[in-house]
Amino acid sequence: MDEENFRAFYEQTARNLRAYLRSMVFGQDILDDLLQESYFRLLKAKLPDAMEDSHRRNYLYRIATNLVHDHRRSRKPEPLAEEPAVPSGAGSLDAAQDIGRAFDRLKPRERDALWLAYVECFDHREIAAILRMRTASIRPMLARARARFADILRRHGAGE
Amino acid sequence: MSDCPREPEVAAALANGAVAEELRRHLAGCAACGEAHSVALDMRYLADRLSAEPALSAASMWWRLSLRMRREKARRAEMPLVWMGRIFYSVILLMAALLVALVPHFSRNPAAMVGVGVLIALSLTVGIALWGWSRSKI
Repeated sequence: MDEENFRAFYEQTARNLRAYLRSMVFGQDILDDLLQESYFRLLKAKLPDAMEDSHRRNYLYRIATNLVHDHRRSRKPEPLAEEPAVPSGAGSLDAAQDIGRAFDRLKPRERDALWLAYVECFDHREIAAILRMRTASIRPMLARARARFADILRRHGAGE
Repeated sequence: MSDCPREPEVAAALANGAVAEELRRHLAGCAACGEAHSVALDMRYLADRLSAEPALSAASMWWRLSLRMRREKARRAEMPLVWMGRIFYSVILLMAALLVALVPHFSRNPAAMVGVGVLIALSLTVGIALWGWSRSKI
């Protein structure tokens, strides 16, 4: 990939990929390292120039997801979903913060799947490839994740 | 709550910025799609907020990655020399051990002693050159 193509692809994908990583990892310090590493591995992979951007984007998210999983494995466990990560009576807090905290209470796989499905709009086959799961497993996992997320938000909204 | 085969359409419609009237009617009657719609809206709201944070510019990222690629290329190019050095040091060590074992036999033969001396001097020269080269890379 030459500089011009890289820049165009980066402009298209960097903000969203950074937001994806931001939602997956705790700690600002690691965020830009993971972003840089994702693009570095993409460049190193020497994908064919003729490859469609959608496939390249798919590949990039696969790299980023693997990096996030490696990062999760290498650090101490995240807070359990049952812990009160969402403070009660937080109605005055910024809505995005509330949603973010509810999102953080999901299992990592559920977070991955929700983001890839509803923000990046990958289809089930693509999500399965990125998460290294069976395509048939994605639909029920998404349904579970959706229900849990909606439930957390509902309970939080009711002043859990 | 059972899922619905039309659920992927919800995220796609939101991404396109418009939910068709027909899908809107479906959303009103389908609990799974209604939930997917609500979750997708929340997720997109969160994503918008998170993506508002500035990422590194494309030029800056390209520069950093090019630098890393060049470093990696240089490291790869040095690998054969590094291995040659390791092999050389191992051979030197083996030879030294062998010489120590054979010194009692050579002491009676001056020509063999000169030969051993030349070999040691040669090995030391190459060894020092390799060591100096490896230090200059740090």
